[in-house]
Amino acid sequence: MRFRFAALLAAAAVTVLGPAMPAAAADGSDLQQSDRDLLAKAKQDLIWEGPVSRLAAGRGSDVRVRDVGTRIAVDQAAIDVQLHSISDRLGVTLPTRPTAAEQAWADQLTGADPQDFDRLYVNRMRASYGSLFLLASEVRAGTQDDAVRSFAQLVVDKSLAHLALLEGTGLAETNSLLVTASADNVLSGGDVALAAMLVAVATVATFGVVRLLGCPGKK
Amino acid sequence: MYLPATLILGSPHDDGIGDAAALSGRLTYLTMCLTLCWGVLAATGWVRRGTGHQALRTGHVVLASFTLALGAMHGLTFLILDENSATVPGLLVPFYDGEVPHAVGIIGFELLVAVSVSTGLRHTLADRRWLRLHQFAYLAVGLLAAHAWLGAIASGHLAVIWLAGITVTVPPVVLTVLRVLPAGTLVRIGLLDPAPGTPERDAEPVVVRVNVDSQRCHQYGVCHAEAPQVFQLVRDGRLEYEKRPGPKQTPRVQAAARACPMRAIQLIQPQGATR
Repeated sequence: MRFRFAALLAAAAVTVLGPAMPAAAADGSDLQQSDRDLLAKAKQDLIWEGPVSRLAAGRGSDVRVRDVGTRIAVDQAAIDVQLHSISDRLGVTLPTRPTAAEQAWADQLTGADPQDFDRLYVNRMRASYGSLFLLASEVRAGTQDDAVRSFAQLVVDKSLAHLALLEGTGLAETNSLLVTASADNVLSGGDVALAAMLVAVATVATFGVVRLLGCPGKK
Repeated sequence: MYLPATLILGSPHDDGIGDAAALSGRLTYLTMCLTLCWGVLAATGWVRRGTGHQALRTGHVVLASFTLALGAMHGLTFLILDENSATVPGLLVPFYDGEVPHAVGIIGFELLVAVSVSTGLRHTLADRRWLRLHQFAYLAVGLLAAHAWLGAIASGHLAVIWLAGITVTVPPVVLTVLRVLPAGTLVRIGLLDPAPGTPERDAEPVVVRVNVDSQRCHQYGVCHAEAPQVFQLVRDGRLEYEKRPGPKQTPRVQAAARACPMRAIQLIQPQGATR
């Protein structure tokens, strides 16, 4: 009886204290996962967009593209300074290397022909800013941290301005903010041959299993 | 211009919902293919080792329930998307949103629901109507498979799942083909015993006597479908059958005995050998 009473008491304590504990733990830091995501994503974008924009400032064949590249590169340098001061204060570690995809885009731009370069630069940057803008505006609306809010505000303002600049070049394509079938989504001739082989093997295997399990003569 | 999927302009919430929809869709596809395999094996009685008839039938029912639950889940996830225009009528009425791939999936799913409900109502439906309806499941599986492949192409997942998709698709296709082959061909490819009554084996067909265990018989009517001249499920739900069918009926009677979901049909050969 005494044991049951103790168990009941323990259950009651857990029920009452359980919900209270996460609230107490959360008081330590106002930082949400989306806040960290924004800081990391902003840095990740800056890593490859900075060099590429400086490249555009020098190599763009259209004068507007060169202007846009210069403006973006200057703004990004300012954003980078702010980003580092805020992440140092909050103790958030930032990425330091471009991802493989980003590296590939940068390489593609570096090796592009002058006439391709402008179009490629504008649309790649526009797609990237599109997703950054979305994340930044969500954090701007929902964060509980004042420093992050002001940084998100800055990113929202600059992303919007840069989107407008990029679209002002007249090179933005209507679908560069949309999903298109990726190159991985197309099967090659070798894949079809592999598929035919797989179908043959699976057919024989299925038939073999059914026949093996169904053969009454070898019980 | 090619953009990778990571740059889709969508909220993280919608990306997560998209993943959940893809996952439930793939699981539906898997359980659907398995349901068909188990169903064919339960209906034909080909498998006689490793598992029992009862287990196959129960497995078919369980897998079918999973298919319906996962399929419903797959459809309903689209309602939680932030940006999407999915509506309840859009999920229920084919062509409501004008998308053919969606309509194919909706029709297939609703056919499957009808098939399951009719199985539950088989005592209420006249004669063997539920069995006829049950065969529409093949059509439904075909439609849903088309829906799945079109969906994978549209969402850019083809390269991720195509090998697994083909592997899962082949067994039900093979079993469906075997299901429609005539018994003679099945004997020739070694799937069935050469029946003593079949012309290939014996010049003189063997007469069998039929006995149905009325305790076991649940009036599914499968025997009626296999050998309508011997077994008849009459209107008030009783099974009437010929105790001594003519020798010409022997192969059909044997098919009926193999296919009986309840294993209620016993065949007695005059020599006394039972099968």
